[in-house]
Amino acid sequence: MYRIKIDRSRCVGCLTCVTACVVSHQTESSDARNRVTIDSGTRPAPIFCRHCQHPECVYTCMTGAMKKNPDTGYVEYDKDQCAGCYMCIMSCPYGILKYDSISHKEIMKCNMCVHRSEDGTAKPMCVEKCPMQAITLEEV
Amino acid sequence: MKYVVLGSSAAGINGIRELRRLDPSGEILLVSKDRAIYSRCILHQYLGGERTLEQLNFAEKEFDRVYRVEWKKGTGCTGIDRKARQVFLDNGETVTYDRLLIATGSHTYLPDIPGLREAVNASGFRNLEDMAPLKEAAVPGKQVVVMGAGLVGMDCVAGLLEAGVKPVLVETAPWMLKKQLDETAASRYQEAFAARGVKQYYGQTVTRAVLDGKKQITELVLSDGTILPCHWLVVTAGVRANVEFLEGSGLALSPLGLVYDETGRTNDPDIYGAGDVSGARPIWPVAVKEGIIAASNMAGGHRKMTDFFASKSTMNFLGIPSMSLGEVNPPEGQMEMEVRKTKDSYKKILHKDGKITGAVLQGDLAYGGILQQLIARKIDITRVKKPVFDIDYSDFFHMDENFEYYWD
Amino acid sequence: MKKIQSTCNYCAIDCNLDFYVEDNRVVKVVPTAGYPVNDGFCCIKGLSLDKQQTTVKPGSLPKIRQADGSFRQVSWEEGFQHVADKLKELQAKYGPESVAGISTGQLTLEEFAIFGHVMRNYLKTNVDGNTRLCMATAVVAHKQSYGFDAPGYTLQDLELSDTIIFIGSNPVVAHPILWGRVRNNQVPGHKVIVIDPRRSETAMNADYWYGLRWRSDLVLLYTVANLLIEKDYLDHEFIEAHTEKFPEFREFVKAYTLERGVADTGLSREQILELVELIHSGKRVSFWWTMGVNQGYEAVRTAQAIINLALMTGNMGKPGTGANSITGQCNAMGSRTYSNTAVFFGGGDFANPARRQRIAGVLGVEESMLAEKPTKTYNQIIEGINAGEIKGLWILCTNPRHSWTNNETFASAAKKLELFVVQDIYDTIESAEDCTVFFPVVPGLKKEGTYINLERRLSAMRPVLERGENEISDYEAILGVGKALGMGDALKGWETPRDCFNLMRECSRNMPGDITGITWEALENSHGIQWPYPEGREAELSDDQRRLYEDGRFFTPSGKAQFVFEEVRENPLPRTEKFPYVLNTGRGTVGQWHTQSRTREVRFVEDVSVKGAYLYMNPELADQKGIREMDRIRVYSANGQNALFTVKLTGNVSREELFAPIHYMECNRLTPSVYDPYSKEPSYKATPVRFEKV
Repeated sequence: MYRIKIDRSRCVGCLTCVTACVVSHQTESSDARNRVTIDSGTRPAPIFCRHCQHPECVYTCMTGAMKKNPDTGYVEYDKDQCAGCYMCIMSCPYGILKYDSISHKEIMKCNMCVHRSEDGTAKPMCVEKCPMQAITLEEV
Repeated sequence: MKYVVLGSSAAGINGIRELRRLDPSGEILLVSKDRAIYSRCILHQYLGGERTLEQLNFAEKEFDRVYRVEWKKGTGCTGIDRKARQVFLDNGETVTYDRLLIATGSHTYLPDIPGLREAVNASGFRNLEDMAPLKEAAVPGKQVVVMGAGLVGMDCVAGLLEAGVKPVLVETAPWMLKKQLDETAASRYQEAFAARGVKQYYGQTVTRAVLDGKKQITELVLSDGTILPCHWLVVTAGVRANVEFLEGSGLALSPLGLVYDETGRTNDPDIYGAGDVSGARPIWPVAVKEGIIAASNMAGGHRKMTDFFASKSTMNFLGIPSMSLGEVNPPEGQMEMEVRKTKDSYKKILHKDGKITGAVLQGDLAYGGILQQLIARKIDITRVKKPVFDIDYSDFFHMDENFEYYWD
Repeated sequence: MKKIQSTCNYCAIDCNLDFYVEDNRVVKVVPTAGYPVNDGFCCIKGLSLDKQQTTVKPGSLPKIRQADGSFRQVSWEEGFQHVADKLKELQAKYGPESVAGISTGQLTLEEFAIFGHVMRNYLKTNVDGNTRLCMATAVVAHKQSYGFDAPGYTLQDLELSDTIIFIGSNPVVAHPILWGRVRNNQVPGHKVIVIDPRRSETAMNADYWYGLRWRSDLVLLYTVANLLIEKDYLDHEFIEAHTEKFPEFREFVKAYTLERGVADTGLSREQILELVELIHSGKRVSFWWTMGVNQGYEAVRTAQAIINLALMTGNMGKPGTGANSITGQCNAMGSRTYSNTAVFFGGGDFANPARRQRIAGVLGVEESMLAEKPTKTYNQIIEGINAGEIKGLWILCTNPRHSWTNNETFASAAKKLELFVVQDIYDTIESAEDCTVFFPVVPGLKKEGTYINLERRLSAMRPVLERGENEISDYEAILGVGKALGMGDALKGWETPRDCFNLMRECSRNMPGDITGITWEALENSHGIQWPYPEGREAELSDDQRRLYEDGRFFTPSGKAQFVFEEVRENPLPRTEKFPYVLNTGRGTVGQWHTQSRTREVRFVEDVSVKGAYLYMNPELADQKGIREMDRIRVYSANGQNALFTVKLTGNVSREELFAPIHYMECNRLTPSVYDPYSKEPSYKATPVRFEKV
């Protein structure tokens, strides 16, 4: 599968990835599915969904809305199946998830921008737009 | 290899997925009382008409075909013979296994209150079968009483509101969701429910159910003498593990339920358990993970359950989201408490000696997942130079060779 | 759901954004696809415009300070009358120039136009913009070299250039969308070159970085010019046909030998020669400068030295070329032409009789009502207050307590004012602390008007949200005071921003920046329209990415560009034994805008913003001083002030230099009262300092 590799030392906290995420998804609340924060030493840290091998958000989902795709390895989210119980938000060990800020019904979950490619492969806009090459798409 | 799985909820279904993943050729037999795969945790949305039966399904549409499973639906178990490796079913059949996964879950507990156990118009809020009579009873003009303001009880109240009735709530504790919320967070819900017409009685127990000649409850008597008319009573005052059929089998049982170790194995090396049947940590994610781990070990793997942190929950009643982690109502003075309030949100975090022990978030749950890790892993946060509410993964950032994050 | 296209009012790029609105709430912001500037992308600031006044919002009515120091909320009518009466009272008592205004490059063209009309024409007093802190240098350089303040490029030139040279410019952080255009460049083998004392984020992404010593840029540029001449790397045809004073320039730069260049800049011979070869080998060389050039004590000449390089190599008026000033604020270009401060509406000197007649005619007023001279400059206004000559000040949409150089001089000025009107969307800005009147106004999401971006593109701001009770715009606040002043018929034709726009169009007729072909309606849902766009020539100007000077004709009387040059000056504030280090300043992050008053409301930005003042230090220097990452130091400036900073270590600054982001008030506490002699722009970038560990 592919994962977004993060070179934290190159990140300058410009938030171009966050902008790209919002622009790519055009969610009806302008929320992002990734975030960048600074640590206590003020160093930026891109906090992006890892599409974990053992995805806690999938384990905790009681509707089947959050699923790990066995072929691509991506953790996929189906908002129509989601009951809005927010257990996935609590379960994400890295604090990446939240709900949209208007309807509170959709979980802001990275989909590797598969909607941007014709064949459903990953095409993350955040990676394309990062001016510092701090995030790159790599096969793992 | 022939696997028999008892139970088709979180533990059983995820166990089967793992069995099939690891053993493409093994034979898998699923036995379940449930006739369909459905999520018990969202029954209130079915009651409220927000979801169809099909939408309750948390697994693949044709689960048994996809995973090549023989499925005996609507079938209970009456006992097992470990020597013969047999399970006896309530339809008279006997099935044999090489490895057995017991994921039979639990059932509603009816407290020993005069009149309650004989009553014909009382139910739990646990199975699909509980819904049909409740839906029938939930019509305007009828009074439905919900006994127990825990998570299930509140789901039920919310579902009934959606269905168009205004239930009455009776709870022993001084406020709703006492295990999950503090008084401040609970009161926001209490007010919101009151505004929707839900009458609520706290600090009250039901002392007696008054029955008519047809064993119908007509009234409930509360501890302070209040008499509540009642057309249907929903009891959500606890559950008990489904282990009756294991009595005398020689499998170790605790007062709570089935006993198994962190690999899922019982005292019989070929029998595993997972989920609510343990009676120990009855929450969905634990059931899922136990199912996966037990199945993995049944198929020859070596995995262990490591996450035993179960005092966690989220809720979303009347559009107000909340998250509860750890102990949120410690004795006065025992913990340091920090509160952050805005117009729409309330956050309380309890900590001591640099470790967070409990948290309530209400109104804004964004990125709250981090708190569960800090609490469950007892992580020292003294080195984080940020307000406790703003702690995020940046101060713990680690990435492995596959670019996955991990906790040190 | 409604969709409204409007213009971002942060930086000079002027991205367009589509705002989706439901129940008077922005539910979605989408960068406008197909818009020539930002085609479907933007930065985090524009994307977050909907957050404005969502967490911090003053009341909707004006506040007047009472004798006991408290504020009394009053009606708008009372607020207007109070300000009008005080202005007149002060003028009567202390003279017409005892009141002044400080405007901004952030408002709409119409708003600073009416402010210029009320203050400069009617009240005959001084108004300068915060554009003085930002673009004044480029303005003067353009005027002297080209004959008009007319930057010639279009952003597309970044995609067409084969040699892109950034000087004192860090677009990765300051202009991310402009940097996106660089990344779009598909010219095979194209090169990006950065000249900057700091290894900036842009330098990290460049093919070549020349890390010269602070304030040695002018020497470097003259040295490069000299070497280009020596090697005969010139476009003789262009020089001959389209420029003047080249022979003098050729003589002048002879003194700037390679040896001198090496000695002054700290670059090696090889580096300077390499740069010369890069300029020579490029077919389409473009030069781009920003605040690193503009904010210096010989900034105008430095900007002109860049222009000279473009002129002598013929890199002017052709695709992918130019000496291009990257503006700072969203409407710096509008302010330069329509604020009635340094020049008349639409351009032209105040002493020019033909312009006086034309403007008076358009505005329908007597010529005598028009301003008679250029405004006093920003520094003169602050100095005037401190000297007790100016008693009343009205500032709009700017935060000088924070942003003014040597900003304690503003703090002391503010306390001396009898009338201090602060008009802003936030009453929490530092400058409002000592105000006597606060006018709360609506943000860009609730108003209409016109913006002009760095490539001369006009675009429309249109109301995205409906206003609440008592909420008014900057335009209406100024108009209200104008009426209360009794301007009467002098305000006829100024009733709405749209009326004002039409007046300004007429003022621009036959000027280099003629916009008579642009209508209010044509700007709506458009690709924006670049000036010039005179009436009657719409068809031939239909290309929406146009550049000037393609015919080699400039706006000087001779039609030729001027080589303007001057000996490098002695640094008026050099390092000394007592102050052995240099404090450089600039934008810190993409998300933080200037004094942070607006971007503080954006959670995305807050998540990644350092909460207090910090600066960058070279690790070797830190080591030598026993300072570690995150230690606190006190920095003492040659201006007499000191401030605390947290230290972050980076090899991207030299051992002699510290770099502090401008988003914290401590930064400009330390910058000096030193200005370019021509543009009066402050020299923010190289203050002698010393420091000690706290």
